Amino acid sequence: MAEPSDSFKQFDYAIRPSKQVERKIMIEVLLGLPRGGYDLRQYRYLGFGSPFYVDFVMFHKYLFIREMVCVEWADVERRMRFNKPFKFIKLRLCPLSAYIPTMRRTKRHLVWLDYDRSLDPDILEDIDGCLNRVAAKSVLVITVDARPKPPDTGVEAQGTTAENRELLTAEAYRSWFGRYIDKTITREAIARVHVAPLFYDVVIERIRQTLTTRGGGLRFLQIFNFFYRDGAPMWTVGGVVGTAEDEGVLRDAGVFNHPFVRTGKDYLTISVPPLTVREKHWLDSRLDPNLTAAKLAFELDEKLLENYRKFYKQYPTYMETLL
Amino acid sequence: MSTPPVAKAHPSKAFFIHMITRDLSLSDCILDLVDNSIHRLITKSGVDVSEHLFGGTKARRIDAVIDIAFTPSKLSVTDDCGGISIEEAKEQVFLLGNPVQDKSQTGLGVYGIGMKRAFFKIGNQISIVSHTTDEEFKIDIDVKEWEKETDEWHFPFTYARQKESTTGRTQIQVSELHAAVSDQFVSKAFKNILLEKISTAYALFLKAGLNIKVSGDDANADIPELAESKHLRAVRQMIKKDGVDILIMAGLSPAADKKPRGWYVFCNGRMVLDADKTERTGWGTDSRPMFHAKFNHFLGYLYLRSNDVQKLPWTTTKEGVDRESPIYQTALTEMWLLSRPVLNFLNELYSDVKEQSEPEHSLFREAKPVPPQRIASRENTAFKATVKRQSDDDLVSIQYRRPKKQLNRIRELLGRRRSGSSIGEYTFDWYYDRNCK
Repeated sequence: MAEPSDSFKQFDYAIRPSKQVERKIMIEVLLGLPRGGYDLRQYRYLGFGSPFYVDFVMFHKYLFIREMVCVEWADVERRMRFNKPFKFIKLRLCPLSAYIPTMRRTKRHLVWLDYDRSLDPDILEDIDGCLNRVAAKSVLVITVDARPKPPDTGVEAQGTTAENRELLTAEAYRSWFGRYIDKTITREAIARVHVAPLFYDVVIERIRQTLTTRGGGLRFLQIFNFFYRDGAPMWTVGGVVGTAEDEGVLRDAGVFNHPFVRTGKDYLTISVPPLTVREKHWLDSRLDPNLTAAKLAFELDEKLLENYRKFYKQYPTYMETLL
Repeated sequence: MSTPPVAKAHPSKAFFIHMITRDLSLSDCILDLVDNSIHRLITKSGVDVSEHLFGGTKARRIDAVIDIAFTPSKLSVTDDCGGISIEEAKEQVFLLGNPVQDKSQTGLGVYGIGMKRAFFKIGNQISIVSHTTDEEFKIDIDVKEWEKETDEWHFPFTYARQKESTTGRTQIQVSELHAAVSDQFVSKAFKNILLEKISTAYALFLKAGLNIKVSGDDANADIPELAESKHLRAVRQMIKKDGVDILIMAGLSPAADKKPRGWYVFCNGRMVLDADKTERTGWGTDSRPMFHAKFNHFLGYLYLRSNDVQKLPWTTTKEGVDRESPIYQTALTEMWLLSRPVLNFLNELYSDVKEQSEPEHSLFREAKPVPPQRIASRENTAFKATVKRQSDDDLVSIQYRRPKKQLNRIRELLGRRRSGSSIGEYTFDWYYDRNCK
């Protein structure tokens, strides 16, 4: 079993700009679901905690979800309780695998399995468990570190060379993921900065298999496929667990027309330039299709300008506040 | 226009007599005869062993005996399980394969092949004598003669008549045994193998009162117990799907139980998988772990019950499961979803850093054996393992090995006669005082 995550010790979750853009995009897209008759206010949000509870606050404020369960396994019980922003959030201090059996099959969920580690068999089991427990029309989102990682073999692996690590990783991935993809996982295939496309194939196939076994005509109606990096490269996939009929309803409601919706393997790269508040305001007041890097009052290359143009609505602004 | 030709598709007696008998062992064939006896018990007297599982001691006890006896020249299976009526014998019992299933009863009879396959596997002369409370019949089969009559697909009655009796009984005798069968009946080990198989396959029936004898010795129920305590509790979950009750229980076998466990699968009370550690119960499939020595104490039960026997994932040999069965697929998903916390606990129990798992070991050692019936008869519960985490002030043991020569050298320098552990403590403290304070 994977060890509990403690990445919150390294980051304030609220100020990872790409992550924050991702959250806002998710909310924007999910706000389209009510047009298809999905009453998100009645959903239960299931997410992993950190003492910052950013997702919980945002999903409550913007999606109006009131039933929330935070599963957290790190050894910070008092801190988690102390920082709980709303009384209605139920804190479950256990691994997700222990919580899944208690989930009610009749309840629609918004589940965000937001891991800070790379894809592994334990994560696939979590996905499988959630898919077997959530009611139809639930939303499942999965985020993982997109870097290829060798299995945790303890102290002896630390001194190994990059080549050995790649060989170890390829061997582990063949054993873990080989059954989900139609080609052999070679060392070359994983000798890269990130392996989001490989993870995509594995996760999507596993979801397909699980839902086929579950029956009821359920399928994964994908809406999210994001890639971003605030430090480590991260990959997110998400969608609605629904039938062909549900797919039609969502299509008619225009959910798939949102520019950030991704229904296939090509991911949306979320990348935002670091800007000062003055730069942001300057750009916002002049942003139109004709604005080019050459016309800016400060240095910013064309690519970063394009990224800003794409995500200016979701761009987070941070200021120090003296409380 | 001429009539299109037809392709022949009639059955062959040789197939039943010589071929499908290869699919299972002699002991499994005898279990097929026991299955038949138990099936009669269920259909005649409404015995439902599930009641013993779910209702505990309140359920009606089974009062019946199945007596198996064999010599190098003869096998007999006698039971007082209600007997076979003349009508049943004429229309149903001797058919080679069930044409239509009666969906109104629970039981063990599924495919309508086991008893006949057992006859053919064991010998050439078969005699079936049975009586209910008001009639009796006898059928004698000479297999070699029957095989010659290729178009005769029936067995003539030796007699069939009215007769008053207080109970129903059936006796099957097989003689003119095949040479390989005689050889096995001579072997002393065979009786023990058979007793062992019966003790597990019919464990729930034996627990409920059924008496099965093998050449004079009673079979004793062999069903492993789960370990429980106030802080350690097995998962118990009952779900219903498509007319099938699916009961799943999983936890740890007691520390004193040294037999590697795994999954035990039952269909209508009959065990069809015993301590399974293979892909049949999901080990090593998808992203699930392979069975490993650290999971030796994993103990899971899958109990399936249905009045429609066709819905259960039996195989014709009752020694496995039909993995494609939708009910089994559902059960498999639930089994693994519910038992993941158990496996996680075992991973912690046998973690690489032994000192860290002492609280888990203590919890495990203190748990007491509990019969699965007691867990089955309670409400649904999740797996619970409340581990008392060590505080930073708790003491931990450190063990390591170093060459004796080096230890003696330190002993010399310290100038005092010290034990190995005392030197270990001294050197630890020496490092800590200089680097950690």
